[in-house]
Amino acid sequence: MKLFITGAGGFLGTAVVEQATRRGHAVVALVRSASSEQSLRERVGDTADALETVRGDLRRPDDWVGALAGVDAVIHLAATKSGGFYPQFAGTVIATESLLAAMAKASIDRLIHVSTFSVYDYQARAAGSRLDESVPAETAESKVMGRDDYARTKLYQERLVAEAAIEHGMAVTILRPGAVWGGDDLWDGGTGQIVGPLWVAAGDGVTNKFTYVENCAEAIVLAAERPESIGQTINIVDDDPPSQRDYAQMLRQRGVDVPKAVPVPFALLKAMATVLDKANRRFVGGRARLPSMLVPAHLDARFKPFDCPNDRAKAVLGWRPRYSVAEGLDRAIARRRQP
Amino acid sequence: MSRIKVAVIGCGAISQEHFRYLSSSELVDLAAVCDVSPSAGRYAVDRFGASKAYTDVATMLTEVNPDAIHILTPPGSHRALVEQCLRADAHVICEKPITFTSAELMPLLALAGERGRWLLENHNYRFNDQTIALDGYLSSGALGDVHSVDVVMSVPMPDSDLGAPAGAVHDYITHASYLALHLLGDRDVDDVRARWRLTGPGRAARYDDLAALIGVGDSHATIRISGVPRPMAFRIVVRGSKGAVETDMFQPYLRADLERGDAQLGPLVNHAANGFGLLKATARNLGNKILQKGAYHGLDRFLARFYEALAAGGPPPISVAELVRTSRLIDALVAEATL
Repeated sequence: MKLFITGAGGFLGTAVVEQATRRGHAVVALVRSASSEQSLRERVGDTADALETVRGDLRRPDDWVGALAGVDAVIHLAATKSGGFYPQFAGTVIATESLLAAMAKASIDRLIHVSTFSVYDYQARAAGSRLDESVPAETAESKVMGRDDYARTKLYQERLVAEAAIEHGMAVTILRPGAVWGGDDLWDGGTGQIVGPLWVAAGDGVTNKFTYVENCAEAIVLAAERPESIGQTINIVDDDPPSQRDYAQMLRQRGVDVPKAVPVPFALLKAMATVLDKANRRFVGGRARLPSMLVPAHLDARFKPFDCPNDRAKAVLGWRPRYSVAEGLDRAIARRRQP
Repeated sequence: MSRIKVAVIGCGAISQEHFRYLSSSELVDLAAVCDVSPSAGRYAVDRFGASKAYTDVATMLTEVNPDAIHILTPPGSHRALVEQCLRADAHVICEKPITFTSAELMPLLALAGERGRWLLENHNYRFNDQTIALDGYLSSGALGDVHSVDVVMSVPMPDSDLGAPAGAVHDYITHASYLALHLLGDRDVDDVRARWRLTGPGRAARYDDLAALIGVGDSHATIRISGVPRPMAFRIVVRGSKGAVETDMFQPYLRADLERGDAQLGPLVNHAANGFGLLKATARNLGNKILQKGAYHGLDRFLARFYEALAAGGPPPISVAELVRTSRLIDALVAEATL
């Protein structure tokens, strides 16, 4: 297949390009900068012949629209994850709008859209319940507004993709990975909240919804290969998610610095967040901006415990997470040590 | 009394500052928004209650026939849009700068006069709490005759020249100019000297550092704008024959050195009063941060005065003479550039 991959210079994008070229696909990789282009070529290494890079911004189709010629499918990873709501809206939603319009014009109807686990309505589910693809994403506008900037923009993005699937008859697969980990910052991936030198571990035993980057990349490429995935929404989480406490221990065993943990029961944080939320609404009309851990919707999305199966990914994609958490950690640490 | 029918063109990051007033004022009806991105328009409808979103300005003008229009697009697009909106007999509030030069501004002001409409540039910092406090010191005579005004902006610089003659500095020069002129009593400028530099790595910025000396009668102003010094600051110092006052638009405080008691005790009293004032400012700034009252709060006051004047038939919050004087000062500053 010839795959057009957006966000190809990013952390997950680089792994997807590597996986796709290894599996024999021709890849057109859209990257933002010359440095991303260079590091992508180095990463892909001996399969670089299958790689064509295009530098540009999704919001400026003139940069890249010519590269859509002959493409069989688009893997859409590009998103902006920081900088406040409007930069994220522009880099995620408006960029997707631009991509979908160009795909329709070029008569490309196959899209693998990489969304996120963050789009689910966590507040509506009881702690400990099963959270799979049958659970609806957040849809009520009033609730969407209460989510963090990343979740909001990804929700709008997913809505656009769903509408394009209907309007243009696109064959879309929506993938929702959990927190993707395995980059330079191993102390990331929804494992807690850093406050100064401390790790506020909300519910220290909460199982993480996360996926090692190479496992996730393989699932994404499999989705492009498998026609069975068309029209499906599929969660991507690994088999053996450890608790936050276990993950921290595995990091320490490998010599990675982990901040001092301050375990705080989830129920206590939730009670504090609920009281503050009510006070905020009652006394200042909801204008107060509080730390994310003290906002009920944000707290539930990050730390509420759920059972998150990956049955559909296995059944539809034939995917098995190739690396365990321990193996993923070893590979990520080895990669960090490379010059 | 019927509400004033308002439209907004351009729904990017700055629009949220305008929507804060427009979605809550009893004087206006937010009848339409217009943006080349359908998603951006749709978000404004969902989030801020605009009645309808458009992607084409001409269609919006024909169908909605707004009484007033906010133009919030990038500066290079302002001239054509302002003309189009004035010809549709709408009052116009335009983000700064309306145009890059006074030669471009004058025909637009003439057109506004011919059509009996207002054309105003957003001079929001004129209406911040701190500027109003400075106005109070000046009008009370506590500072005596104004000797000098220093405006210092340490700000993040855009990495492009914005298509403007002052390059990246043009993003800020309007604010610094109208504040300096206002605090000097809105008088004509006699002479200008300026040193323009490009200090950062981004050659595309054209200029990212300005140091200027502006003579106005027996008084003078200095303007310094740079992307290098930290912390970020927007500091203003007004010195007069009797005393001096200093403030900051980003981290508000007031420090006043006034004639208090005799020459021995006066400075000590000033120190004590200013120390107490700084403590109060710390508490107030924390509250403002939580309640999201930011540096742009003067815009609400500016817009309230604009629409109150429009509804009641009073004068606009800033005059045509002030607009022209500001634009001509920027012309004179840019004329000193050499790159």
